[in-house]
Amino acid sequence: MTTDAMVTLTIPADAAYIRLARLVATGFATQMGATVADLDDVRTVVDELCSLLLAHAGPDDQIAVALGGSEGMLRASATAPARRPWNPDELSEGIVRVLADEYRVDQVDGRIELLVDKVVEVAAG
Amino acid sequence: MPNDDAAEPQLQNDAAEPQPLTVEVQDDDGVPVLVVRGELDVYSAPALDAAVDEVLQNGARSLVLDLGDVGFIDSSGLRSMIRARKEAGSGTDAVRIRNPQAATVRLLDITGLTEHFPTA
Repeated sequence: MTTDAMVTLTIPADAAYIRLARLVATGFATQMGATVADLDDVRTVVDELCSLLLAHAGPDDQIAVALGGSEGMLRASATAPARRPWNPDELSEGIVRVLADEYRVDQVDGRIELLVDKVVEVAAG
Repeated sequence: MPNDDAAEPQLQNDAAEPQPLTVEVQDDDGVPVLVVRGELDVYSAPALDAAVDEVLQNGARSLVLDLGDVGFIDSSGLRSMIRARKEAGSGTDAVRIRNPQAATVRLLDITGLTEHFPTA
C-alpha cells in the first residue's frame, strides 16, 4: 500500500448512504492488510461516526469522510455541519471509544469533526 | 458514438444500493423466531422494530432473534434489540438471540449487553 495513502468520500447526510461509507472504510482497511477483526472494527467505527453526525446534520447537508493510513495506523475523520448542539448518543460514542485507540471531537466554524486513530494489525502472509 | 465497452466502471448494485433488511417470522414450538437477514443499521433498524411490534401485537410474550444472517450491526441495531426487550416484557428470556456472528457477539460484549440477550 502507498505510504500515507488517503481516500476521501462525501455522502449525503442520509441514513441510506452510510453503508457506502462502511464499504469504503472496509476497502481501505483491506488495502492496509488489516486482519478480519480490525476490518470489522474499522467498519463499525466509521459507521458510528457517520451516524453520530447524521443526528446533528440537516437533510440537505453532506458528510465528508476521510481515511488515511500508514505503518499500521489508520486515521478516519468524518465532518458535517452542526445544525444543533453537540449531544452525542452515548451508546454510539461508547462503541467508538472502545474500538478506536484515539477519539476526538472538534467543533469549528459551525462544523463538527470526529476523528479517530486506530492501530491496525496487519494480517500475516 | 458511445462505446459500451469503454464505459466507465460503475459500482455494482449491491454496493451502491442500501441492502434491504428482511425479517421472516418462523415458529419454534409456539415461540416466534424472527430470522433477520441483511445489515442492521440506522437505515434498516426500523424494519426490525416493525416486525417486533407485529409479533407482539399478535400476542407473543417472548421471541427469538435469529441473527445468523446479519452481516453487520451497529448501535442502531442494538437499540432495536433493546427496544424489543423492553416491549416484550420483564422476563429475562423475553428476547433471546440465535446464531449471532462474531462481530455481533463482540458488539454485545463491549456494550455490556450480552447478559440481557441470552442465547436460544
